[in-house]
Parts: sequence; structure tokens; C-alpha cells
Amino acid sequence: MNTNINVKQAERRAFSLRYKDGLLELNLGAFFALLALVDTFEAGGFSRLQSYLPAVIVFAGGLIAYYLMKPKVVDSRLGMIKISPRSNAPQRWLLILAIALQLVTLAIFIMASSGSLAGALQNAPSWIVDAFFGIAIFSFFALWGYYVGAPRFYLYGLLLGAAKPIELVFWPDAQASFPGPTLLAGLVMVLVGGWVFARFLRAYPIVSGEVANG
Amino acid sequence: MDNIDSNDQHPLAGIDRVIHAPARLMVMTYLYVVDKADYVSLTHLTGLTWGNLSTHVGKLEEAGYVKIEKKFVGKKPHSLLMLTKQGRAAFKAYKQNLSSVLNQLPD
Repeated sequence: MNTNINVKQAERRAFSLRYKDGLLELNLGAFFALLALVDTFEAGGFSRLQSYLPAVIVFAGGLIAYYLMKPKVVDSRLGMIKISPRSNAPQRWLLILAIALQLVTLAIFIMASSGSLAGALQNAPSWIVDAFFGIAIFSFFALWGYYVGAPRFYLYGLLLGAAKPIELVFWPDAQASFPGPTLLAGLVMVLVGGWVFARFLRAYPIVSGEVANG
Repeated sequence: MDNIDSNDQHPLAGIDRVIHAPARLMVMTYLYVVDKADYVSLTHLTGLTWGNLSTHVGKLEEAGYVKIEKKFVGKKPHSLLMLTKQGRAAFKAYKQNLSSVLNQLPD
């Protein structure tokens, strides 16, 4: 019997229950892996839009599939928890911070591409944007992993955040963006997500009868 | 013989014994941090068996600290547990009472 009465730890434990299934990283991993292949698809003759389509379809389809199968596959094993808005506040701020960081990065990238940046910023090497983006990605996943008590999110943040800088250092002359590091990060997420899901199915059998019905 | 003044009683003497049992304290703690939870998730979080959990939830409900919301998910009945306002206030008071006593103890 767990005798922990630390409220903060209880909160984290309740949050971590929602991430026991590994399905989120299966979806995100496939999304990032396909996103890494956008330039490769484009080099193969597809339009920019067509190249993004597989990633968008997998992401949207994965989310829809998750919400459709959640009651039968997840809730029937883990039960249901509704987190209060008060407790959810740190995750909401994290999401706002992540969106703000991405928008700032995107704005810098667009301005740099269009030559609108003044002075030193315009002359700054492009790796600065990639480094900033990498730090933002890592921070997002690290904070997320911290708040929900899922240490494997640190690994995702590290792999995804370091992908672009690694690509620039080891493959600086690649004509199209070399998908290797980001593709690897996505595939690792898919593999880990798959392993977490398999472990979840074994550790949490479907609960039926009076326990499930309360 | 001197009568014991009620002011001489230890602060923990008046502690809420409904909450003070370890199993009920765990249930109250988890319900304090989430809005609602069902029996299945509480058995996973607390490690209590279904029977044990059901007994303790019954006592908390009797004390007016926990409310059970029954609804249907599909065709199956489903119960969600949550703290009442009284339960939330009682838990806060319990937490403060215990902290104020334990924090004064030397290391």
C-alpha cells in the first residue's frame, strides 16, 4: 500500500496515470518521423503541400483514433480522472510558453528568410535559429515530463532538440535537409511508445464488474 | 487533584479521525488534487483493494466529505468520486493542523 501523503507528489502521480499508455508518443513519434521526411518527399517530386500531408494525416488521424478508442482501451484499465483547472494550470502555462516560443522562432525564421532582420540579426548564422528551436523543444518536453512524472519525455526532448544542430554539424552540405537525426528521434518515440503501450496492456488488465461500475 | 484544563490538551488530540486513517488520508489526498476520480483509478493510485477502498469511501461519504456522482457511460453505470466543500475544508484544516505540530518538532 502506498502511504505517500505529499500533495505535490500525489498530484504528479495522478497526472502520470494519464500517460501510462504510451499512445501519445506513438502518435507524436510517427508525426515527427514523417515531418523529417518532408524535404525528402519534395526532392522526390511531390509538392510542398503533398509532402506535409502524411504527417498531418497521421497526427490528426492518431488523435481521432485515440479519443475513439480511449474508453475501451485506456479508461477500462486505468479508470477515469478529471483534473481540476487549478491543478492543470502549470500544464496550461507550459503549453502557452511552448506556443509562444514556436511563434517567436517562426517569426525570426521568416524574417531571416525575407531579409527583414536588421543588422547583426540578419548576418547571424542560421544555426542560431536551429539552436534556439532545439532549446525550445527540449525545454518544452523536459517541463512536460517533470509535471507529469514521465522521465522518458526528457529523452524525447533531448533527441528532438538536438536533431537539427547535429544535422548541421555532421551533414552541413546536405542539399535537402537530412532527415536522419529527426527521423531517428521520431522512430525512437514510436518504439518507446510501443513498448510502453505493450507494458501497459500487461500491467493494467481490463477491470469489469463492481469495481468498474463503482 | 488538579483538573486538566482543556487548553492543556495536545493540538493533535482534536485531529479529524475520519481523515486520519492512512487509507482514508490517501483517498482524500488524491481527491484533493484531482477534480473527480473513479474507483478504478483510485485503486491504482492508492494500492488499496476494491473492498477496502469501498469501505473507506463509505465512511468518508457518511462524514459528508466525499460525494459520489453516478452516471451512465454507454449502458454501464459509472461512479465518480469527488470531495465536497466540507471535505475540502476539512482536509485543508487537517493538513494545517498536522503541519503546524510537526513543523515545530526538532530534527
